[in-house]
Amino acid sequence: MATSTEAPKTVTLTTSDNADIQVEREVAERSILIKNLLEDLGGDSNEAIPIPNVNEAVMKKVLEWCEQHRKDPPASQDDDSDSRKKSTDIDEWDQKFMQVDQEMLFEIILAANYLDIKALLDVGCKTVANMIKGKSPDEIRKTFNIQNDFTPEEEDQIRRENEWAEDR
Amino acid sequence: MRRYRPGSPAAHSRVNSGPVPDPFSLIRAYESETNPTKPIRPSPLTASTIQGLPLDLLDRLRSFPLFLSAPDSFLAAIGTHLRPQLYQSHDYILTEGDHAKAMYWLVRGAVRVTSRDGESTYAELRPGAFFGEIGILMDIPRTATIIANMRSLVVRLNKEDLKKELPNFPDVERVIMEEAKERLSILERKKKEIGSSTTKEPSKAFQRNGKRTRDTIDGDVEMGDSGVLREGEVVSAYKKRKSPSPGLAEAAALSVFGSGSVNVRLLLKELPLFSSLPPEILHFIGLNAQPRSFPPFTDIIQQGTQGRDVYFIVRGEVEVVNTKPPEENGHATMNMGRRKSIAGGEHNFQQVKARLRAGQYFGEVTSLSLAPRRTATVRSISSVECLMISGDVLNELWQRCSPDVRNQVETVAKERLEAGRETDTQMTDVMDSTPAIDELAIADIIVPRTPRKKSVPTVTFSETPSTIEIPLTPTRREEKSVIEPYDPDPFLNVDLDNMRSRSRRGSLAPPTPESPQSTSDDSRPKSPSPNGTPLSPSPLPKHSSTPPEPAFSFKRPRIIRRPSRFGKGIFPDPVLTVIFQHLDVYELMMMRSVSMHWLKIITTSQDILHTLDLTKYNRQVTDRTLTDIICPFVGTRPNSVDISNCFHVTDEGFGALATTCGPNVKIWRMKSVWDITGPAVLEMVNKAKGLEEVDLSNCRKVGDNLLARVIGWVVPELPPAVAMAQHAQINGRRSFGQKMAGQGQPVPQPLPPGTVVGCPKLRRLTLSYCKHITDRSMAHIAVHAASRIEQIDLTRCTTITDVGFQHWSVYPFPKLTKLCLADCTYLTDNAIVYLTNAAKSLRELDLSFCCALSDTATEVLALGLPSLTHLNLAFCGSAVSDTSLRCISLHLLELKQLSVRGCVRVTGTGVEAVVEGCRDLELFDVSQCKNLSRWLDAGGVDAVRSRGRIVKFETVADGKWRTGR
Repeated sequence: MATSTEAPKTVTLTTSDNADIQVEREVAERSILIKNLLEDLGGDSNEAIPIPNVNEAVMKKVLEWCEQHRKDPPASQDDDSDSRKKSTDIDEWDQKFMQVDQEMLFEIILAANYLDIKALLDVGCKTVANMIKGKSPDEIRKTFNIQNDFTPEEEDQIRRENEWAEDR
Repeated sequence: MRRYRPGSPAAHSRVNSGPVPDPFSLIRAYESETNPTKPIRPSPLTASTIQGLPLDLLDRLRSFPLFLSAPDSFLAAIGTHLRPQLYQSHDYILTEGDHAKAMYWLVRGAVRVTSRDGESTYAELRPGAFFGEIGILMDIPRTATIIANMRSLVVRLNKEDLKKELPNFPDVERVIMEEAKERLSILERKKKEIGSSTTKEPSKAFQRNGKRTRDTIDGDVEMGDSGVLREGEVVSAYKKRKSPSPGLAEAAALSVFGSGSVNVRLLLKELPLFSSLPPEILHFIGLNAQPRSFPPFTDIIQQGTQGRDVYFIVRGEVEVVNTKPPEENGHATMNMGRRKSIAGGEHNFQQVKARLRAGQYFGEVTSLSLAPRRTATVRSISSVECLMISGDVLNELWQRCSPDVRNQVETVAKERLEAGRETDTQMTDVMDSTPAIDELAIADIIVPRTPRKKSVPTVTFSETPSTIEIPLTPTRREEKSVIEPYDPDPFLNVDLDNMRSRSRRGSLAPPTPESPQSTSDDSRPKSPSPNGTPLSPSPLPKHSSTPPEPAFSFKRPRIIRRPSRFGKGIFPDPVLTVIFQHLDVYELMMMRSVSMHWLKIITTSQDILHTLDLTKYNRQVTDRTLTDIICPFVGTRPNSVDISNCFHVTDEGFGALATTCGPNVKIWRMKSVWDITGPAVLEMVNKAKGLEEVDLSNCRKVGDNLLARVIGWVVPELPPAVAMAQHAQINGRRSFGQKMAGQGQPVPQPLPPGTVVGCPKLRRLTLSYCKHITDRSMAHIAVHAASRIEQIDLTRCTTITDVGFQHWSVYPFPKLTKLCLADCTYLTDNAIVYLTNAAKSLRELDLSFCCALSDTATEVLALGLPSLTHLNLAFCGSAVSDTSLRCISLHLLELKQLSVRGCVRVTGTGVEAVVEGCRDLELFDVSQCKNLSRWLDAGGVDAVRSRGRIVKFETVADGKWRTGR
């Protein structure tokens, strides 16, 4: 806060593939992880902050989102019914933003989880939820690289419990 | 009115104090004559000179307008044909559209006049009322449905019996015949009027305009010549109306003349002008009166024009408007200047001088040559039907009758003219120079000037009552007698009538569930249905459409192996949890079969399934599903439960769900889950102490008692007797809570003081379509929940009246921000006044289809609710005019959304004023405002935009295409 230069304060982030990214502090602080780190470092340290779990491409994408949402009010803490909107309610910009290949989408979600950007994590997970709705367990397993560890009997048991919502 | 009633005082005391509680004695009394097997035990009522006819019954017979002057012998003859009938509560006595075979008098009990589906009540009838006479006299199918509210005793007069007796009484026959002729001539002129208003050939036009009109015309009174009432041929061809046709034309064509609710003679006689005229003159007038109907917002008389016709309002409301600019007229009213500047460039200011209602008349000033030209414009507010007596007819009338009569009439008119001067304060200055009397009738009205100029937002109520009483019977004044001949015609309220064809929505049926998985059907794993599964119908008789359920019980998957690490996939658990938060209960159940790891998270994580929304699966959710599958799966996780439209669910499944989810639930929505009984809801409420929002829309079993227990109360510290007395003081009625407590407990032991009953945190209530909710509930809400209620939706709670809001007015509702009163058609301006006293911080108010409101209501709420941001006045035709819009523009400065959809009196002037005054306005719905088309066509919307205002206008056309004109 000491320097009040016209240029907004920036921070440098070092990604897992050793790329340095300059970004405004306000934008970077959408990430609670970075915000806490910066606070811990105190004041005006110009040290680059290592982000070992995120590579450059993903980090750029994440920062693009942070830039867009830099002015968003902090999410209200109480998990009321209103904040729990339907998963179809994704704003237009975010929808476009999330139109990336599946690998990138998952990377963004993992990065958002790691960097503690709740709103981005939410949007990503909504997108994934919409993606897997109505898919067969097999398709889902394939998408998430999961192996089926049920016995046929167990599978049948679950299936029978799910029959109630089928058309009769 | 001359009402011949022998021995009435005695009869009255009997009727009132009711020393004859046993209706059966009444039956025996006159059954004995025709039915000798009955024990002959004279009823105390048979004190009449007429054998076998109880006195009060005699009075009732006589209260029927057509029998007014009939001799006792006729009534006695009719009396022998009367048959008593006892109906139980909820019995249908008449059904709309059925053939009319008899007319009825209500002796004991209460009945209600309803729409065909019984959903909306038009009127309630008290003992003494008669009904069904329209059908037999006019020979038309039943025009309304009558349902017994409680055990009710009626006496019935068959059509054949009436027509058997009539020839024996030529006098009565003549009276009825004259009345019938008058009606007939009016109907014929009506027919001409309709015929000339359309270019099509009449028969077709009638078919399109409304079956009822056609039927009444074709099948109308036959008794004139032959004294015989017979079924018209057309009547048998009458098709029952399955649903109301939406055309506006029909509403217009549903004439009071057509439905025969007008007793022409009585109508004329009630007009002070004619009160003293002899019957033959009245008959002459009756034969020559012409029916005229006017759509809303039409000039009936224009100021300055010539004409000598006199109009008698039969139905609807008109306003008397001074259209002349103040300079010309000499009216220098102060407020006008202010208004003018605000409305900005408005040039056609109109001063509303009076409102006239059914039973009042206008236009006789010029016709009596008291003024050379029309002294004011008279314009319809709602659709108006008038009887017009032309100048020529009046001339002839003066010639026919003695000069005395004319003098008398003129004297009366002049007296009223003088009185008019005194009451109309605005006119006192100019009166002495010019005889610019607006209307004689001014004296008749207690001019309902709105307290518009008051700067204090608190609106006192002292001035409004006169405007509130909408005469239910258009033709008859308030009867002072004990027996009230209460005309049960369903078309009592013009606005109601207009709305009826347009807005009759039945109860909310659960939506036909479109396949909930329509998009995903193909990809969903269709598990091969287990072929060997024995399917047997459910042993319990359920909802008729409830499908049979599999009888085998489901086993929980008991999978206790440790999940393999391959089942984890790429996402860590917290991410998976977030993903699962966005899936609904069925989707999650499906996901369980992905892997053991997913199964474990889905079944155990406390962070998911906070919302249990089963509306998507409403058709599939049954008691068994809830009990065996859904409840064990969701556990205590949900804090919001929505089972709206799950119409298969009964108390059994509901109870299981309530037991499972109750402790944590805050929101409970159960719209249209109508098989759930009161005790089940109560049980749920007792478990869900933390409930904040409840939606009981369209739950048939919800009544006052249940709602009181849901909303709850705190048992007071005082001994019950004192508490009761106190409550009675506050409330003006019995203490609701105490009474409830007494009823609800099997042991009549009072609860210890301080006990909290019901849901103390409840603050959002949706009760739409709960027609059993009455003013008692309103009182309970006011007393026990006024301080916490935030939102209430009372859409179509048609049983709630002004009295309910009167209870509100005593208590502040500081948190109430959103209120929906759509379709509460019985609310009048009073309710709005009370409301403004109670909920001053209201932000959103929906009054759509509250058609009994007048401009006063709009002005009152503009003054009393300054924080309004959303206001819906759609189809409140008589409450929205340019004047009231101007009032809105002056006071509701925070308004963001306003709807005046379907309000015909809105013109560009009002719209401009609102746009000018309400600077925050974002959305303005002016759809279907017929008289706005000129402003719209002239590019009004673009003009507003060009001034840099970002107001979105909704402008759907006025639906002309529907009427085919």
